Amino acid sequence: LSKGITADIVIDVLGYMCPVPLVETKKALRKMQVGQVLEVIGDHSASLVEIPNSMRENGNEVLAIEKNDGSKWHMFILKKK
Amino acid sequence: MAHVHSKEKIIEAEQTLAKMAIVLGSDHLDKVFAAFQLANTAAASGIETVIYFTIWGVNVIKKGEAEKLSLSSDYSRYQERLKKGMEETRSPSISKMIMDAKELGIKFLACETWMALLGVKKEDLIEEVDDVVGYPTFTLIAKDANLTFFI
Repeated sequence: LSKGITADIVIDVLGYMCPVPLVETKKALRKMQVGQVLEVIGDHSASLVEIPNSMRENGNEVLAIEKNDGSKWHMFILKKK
Repeated sequence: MAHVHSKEKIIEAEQTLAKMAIVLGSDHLDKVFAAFQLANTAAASGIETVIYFTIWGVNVIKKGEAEKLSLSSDYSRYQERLKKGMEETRSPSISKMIMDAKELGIKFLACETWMALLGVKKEDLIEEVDDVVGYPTFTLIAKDANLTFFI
Protein backbone atom coordinates (compact mmCIF):
# COMPACT_ATOMS: atom_id res chain seq x y z
CA LEU A 1 0.00 0.00 0.00
CA SER A 2 2.52 2.61 1.15
CA LYS A 3 5.60 2.99 -1.10
CA GLY A 4 5.39 -0.66 -2.01
CA ILE A 5 5.51 -1.83 1.63
CA THR A 6 3.72 -5.12 2.16
CA ALA A 7 2.41 -5.85 5.63
CA ASP A 8 2.65 -9.39 7.03
CA ILE A 9 0.11 -8.68 9.75
CA VAL A 10 -2.62 -6.01 9.92
CA ILE A 11 -4.40 -4.88 13.09
CA ASP A 12 -7.39 -2.55 13.27
CA VAL A 13 -7.63 -0.24 16.30
CA LEU A 14 -10.11 2.21 14.78
CA GLY A 15 -12.16 3.91 17.48
CA TYR A 16 -9.87 2.89 20.32
CA MET A 17 -8.09 5.35 22.59
CA CYS A 18 -4.83 5.32 24.52
CA PRO A 19 -3.37 2.99 25.61
CA VAL A 20 -5.26 0.40 23.53
CA PRO A 21 -3.54 1.11 20.15
CA LEU A 22 -0.08 0.81 21.75
CA VAL A 23 -1.07 -2.29 23.75
CA GLU A 24 -2.48 -4.03 20.65
CA THR A 25 0.60 -3.03 18.61
CA LYS A 26 2.92 -4.52 21.20
CA LYS A 27 0.82 -7.69 21.50
CA ALA A 28 0.96 -8.17 17.72
CA LEU A 29 4.72 -7.52 17.54
CA ARG A 30 5.38 -10.11 20.26
CA LYS A 31 3.86 -12.80 18.04
CA MET A 32 5.79 -11.74 14.90
CA GLN A 33 9.21 -12.67 13.55
CA VAL A 34 12.09 -10.22 13.16
CA GLY A 35 11.94 -8.77 9.65
CA GLN A 36 8.15 -8.87 9.39
CA VAL A 37 6.05 -5.74 8.91
CA LEU A 38 3.01 -4.82 10.99
CA GLU A 39 0.36 -2.45 9.66
CA VAL A 40 -1.68 -0.66 12.34
CA ILE A 41 -4.89 1.08 11.24
CA GLY A 42 -6.25 3.61 13.71
CA ASP A 43 -7.70 7.08 14.25
CA HIS A 44 -6.51 8.09 17.74
CA SER A 45 -4.24 11.06 17.04
CA ALA A 46 -2.08 10.73 20.19
CA SER A 47 -0.99 7.28 18.98
CA LEU A 48 0.77 8.90 16.01
CA VAL A 49 3.30 10.23 18.52
CA GLU A 50 3.14 7.54 21.20
CA ILE A 51 3.59 4.44 19.05
CA PRO A 52 6.65 5.80 17.15
CA ASN A 53 8.21 6.93 20.48
CA SER A 54 7.77 3.47 21.94
CA MET A 55 9.07 1.78 18.77
CA ARG A 56 12.18 3.99 18.82
CA GLU A 57 12.86 3.15 22.48
CA ASN A 58 12.43 -0.56 21.82
CA GLY A 59 14.51 -0.76 18.66
CA ASN A 60 11.75 -1.28 16.11
CA GLU A 61 11.30 0.98 13.08
CA VAL A 62 8.31 2.93 11.85
CA LEU A 63 8.73 2.64 8.06
CA ALA A 64 5.85 4.92 7.06
CA ILE A 65 2.69 6.64 8.26
CA GLU A 66 -0.09 7.28 5.77
CA LYS A 67 -2.91 9.76 6.35
CA ASN A 68 -5.30 10.45 3.53
CA ASP A 69 -8.75 9.70 4.87
CA GLY A 70 -9.86 12.12 7.61
CA SER A 71 -8.48 11.16 10.98
CA LYS A 72 -7.73 7.60 9.86
CA TRP A 73 -4.09 6.58 9.61
CA HIS A 74 -2.01 3.56 8.61
CA MET A 75 1.30 2.92 10.32
CA PHE A 76 3.86 0.41 9.04
CA ILE A 77 6.28 -1.00 11.62
CA LEU A 78 9.29 -3.22 10.92
CA LYS A 79 10.05 -5.64 13.74
CA LYS A 80 13.82 -5.44 14.22
CA LYS A 81 14.28 -7.18 17.58
CA MET B 1 -0.89 -20.64 39.48
CA ALA B 2 2.89 -20.74 39.39
CA HIS B 3 4.64 -21.39 42.68
CA VAL B 4 7.96 -19.64 42.54
CA HIS B 5 9.61 -18.21 45.60
CA SER B 6 12.81 -16.47 44.68
CA LYS B 7 13.00 -12.97 43.32
CA GLU B 8 15.01 -14.21 40.35
CA LYS B 9 12.33 -16.67 39.33
CA ILE B 10 9.46 -14.23 39.76
CA ILE B 11 11.08 -11.67 37.49
CA GLU B 12 12.14 -13.41 34.30
CA ALA B 13 13.61 -10.33 32.74
CA GLU B 14 13.41 -10.02 29.00
CA GLN B 15 15.33 -7.07 27.74
CA THR B 16 13.66 -4.21 29.50
CA LEU B 17 14.15 -0.47 29.57
CA ALA B 18 13.09 0.09 33.16
CA LYS B 19 11.04 -1.45 35.90
CA MET B 20 7.66 -0.39 37.31
CA ALA B 21 6.14 -1.62 40.58
CA ILE B 22 2.50 -0.81 41.26
CA VAL B 23 0.83 -1.39 44.62
CA LEU B 24 -2.92 -1.65 44.01
CA GLY B 25 -4.74 -1.23 47.31
CA SER B 26 -8.20 -0.41 45.97
CA ASP B 27 -11.06 -2.30 44.37
CA HIS B 28 -12.79 0.85 43.12
CA LEU B 29 -13.44 0.82 39.38
CA ASP B 30 -11.73 4.17 38.64
CA LYS B 31 -8.54 3.29 40.46
CA VAL B 32 -8.34 -0.27 39.12
CA PHE B 33 -8.96 1.02 35.58
CA ALA B 34 -6.22 3.64 35.96
CA ALA B 35 -3.82 1.07 37.45
CA PHE B 36 -4.23 -1.18 34.41
CA GLN B 37 -3.98 1.76 31.98
CA LEU B 38 -0.67 2.61 33.62
CA ALA B 39 0.59 -0.97 33.86
CA ASN B 40 -0.38 -1.99 30.33
CA THR B 41 1.08 1.19 28.83
CA ALA B 42 4.35 0.54 30.66
CA ALA B 43 4.53 -3.11 29.63
CA ALA B 44 3.69 -2.25 26.02
CA SER B 45 6.53 0.29 26.13
CA GLY B 46 9.09 -2.34 27.13
CA ILE B 47 9.02 -1.64 30.87
CA GLU B 48 9.06 -4.68 33.16
CA THR B 49 5.96 -4.34 35.32
CA VAL B 50 4.75 -5.92 38.54
CA ILE B 51 1.39 -5.34 40.27
CA TYR B 52 1.08 -6.14 43.97
CA PHE B 53 -2.58 -6.63 44.94
CA THR B 54 -3.00 -5.77 48.60
CA ILE B 55 -5.60 -4.31 50.99
CA TRP B 56 -8.87 -4.08 48.97
CA GLY B 57 -6.94 -4.74 45.76
CA VAL B 58 -7.11 -8.42 46.73
CA ASN B 59 -10.80 -8.32 45.73
CA VAL B 60 -9.86 -7.47 42.11
CA ILE B 61 -8.14 -10.84 41.59
CA LYS B 62 -10.86 -12.94 43.22
CA LYS B 63 -12.62 -15.17 40.67
CA GLY B 64 -15.64 -13.43 39.15
CA GLU B 65 -15.04 -10.04 40.80
CA ALA B 66 -13.37 -8.02 38.01
CA GLU B 67 -16.67 -7.16 36.32
CA LYS B 68 -18.47 -6.25 39.56
CA LEU B 69 -16.32 -3.27 40.53
CA SER B 70 -17.93 0.08 41.31
CA LEU B 71 -16.87 3.56 42.36
CA SER B 72 -16.34 4.66 45.96
CA SER B 73 -19.53 6.02 47.57
CA ASP B 74 -17.90 9.49 47.48
CA TYR B 75 -18.13 9.36 43.68
CA SER B 76 -21.17 7.15 43.18
CA ARG B 77 -22.98 10.03 41.44
CA TYR B 78 -20.46 9.60 38.59
CA GLN B 79 -20.96 5.85 38.24
CA GLU B 80 -23.38 5.97 35.30
CA ARG B 81 -21.41 8.74 33.57
CA LEU B 82 -18.17 6.76 33.81
CA LYS B 83 -19.75 3.54 32.56
CA LYS B 84 -21.27 5.45 29.63
CA GLY B 85 -17.90 7.11 28.94
CA MET B 86 -16.13 3.76 28.95
CA GLU B 87 -18.61 2.51 26.35
CA GLU B 88 -18.34 5.69 24.25
CA THR B 89 -14.53 5.47 24.16
CA ARG B 90 -14.62 1.70 23.55
CA SER B 91 -12.54 1.25 26.72
CA PRO B 92 -11.63 -2.34 27.48
CA SER B 93 -13.30 -4.06 30.42
CA ILE B 94 -11.21 -4.83 33.51
CA SER B 95 -11.24 -8.52 32.50
CA LYS B 96 -9.85 -7.64 29.06
CA MET B 97 -7.18 -5.43 30.63
CA ILE B 98 -6.19 -8.32 32.92
CA MET B 99 -5.81 -10.60 29.86
CA ASP B 100 -3.78 -7.95 28.01
CA ALA B 101 -1.58 -7.43 31.08
CA LYS B 102 -0.74 -11.13 31.20
CA GLU B 103 -0.11 -11.30 27.46
CA LEU B 104 2.37 -8.43 27.87
CA GLY B 105 4.17 -10.32 30.64
CA ILE B 106 3.03 -8.32 33.68
CA LYS B 107 3.52 -10.19 36.95
CA PHE B 108 0.57 -10.37 39.38
CA LEU B 109 1.47 -10.85 43.02
CA ALA B 110 -1.16 -11.26 45.75
CA CYS B 111 -0.58 -10.10 49.32
CA GLU B 112 -0.62 -13.05 51.69
CA THR B 113 -1.42 -10.98 54.81
CA TRP B 114 -4.41 -9.15 53.32
CA MET B 115 -5.71 -12.42 51.88
CA ALA B 116 -5.66 -13.81 55.42
CA LEU B 117 -7.25 -10.66 56.88
CA LEU B 118 -10.10 -10.92 54.37
CA GLY B 119 -10.40 -14.71 54.51
CA VAL B 120 -9.40 -15.18 50.86
CA LYS B 121 -7.85 -18.54 49.92
CA LYS B 122 -5.42 -19.25 47.08
CA GLU B 123 -8.11 -21.22 45.28
CA ASP B 124 -10.36 -18.13 45.33
CA LEU B 125 -7.89 -16.26 43.09
CA ILE B 126 -7.94 -16.07 39.29
CA GLU B 127 -5.32 -18.20 37.52
CA GLU B 128 -3.55 -15.09 36.18
CA VAL B 129 -1.98 -14.54 39.63
CA ASP B 130 1.68 -15.60 39.50
CA ASP B 131 2.31 -15.94 43.21
CA VAL B 132 1.16 -15.17 46.74
CA VAL B 133 3.86 -13.30 48.64
CA GLY B 134 4.37 -11.15 51.71
CA TYR B 135 5.45 -7.53 51.93
CA PRO B 136 9.15 -8.46 52.42
CA THR B 137 9.20 -10.33 49.10
CA PHE B 138 7.44 -7.50 47.32
CA THR B 139 9.91 -5.03 48.85
CA LEU B 140 12.82 -7.06 47.45
CA ILE B 141 11.19 -7.06 44.03
CA ALA B 142 10.35 -3.36 44.11
CA LYS B 143 13.58 -2.02 45.58
CA ASP B 144 15.28 -1.61 42.23
CA ALA B 145 12.18 -0.34 40.40
CA ASN B 146 12.65 3.00 38.69
CA LEU B 147 8.94 3.76 38.87
CA THR B 148 6.70 2.99 41.84
CA PHE B 149 3.04 3.82 42.36
CA PHE B 150 0.60 3.30 45.20
CA ILE B 151 -2.97 3.34 43.91
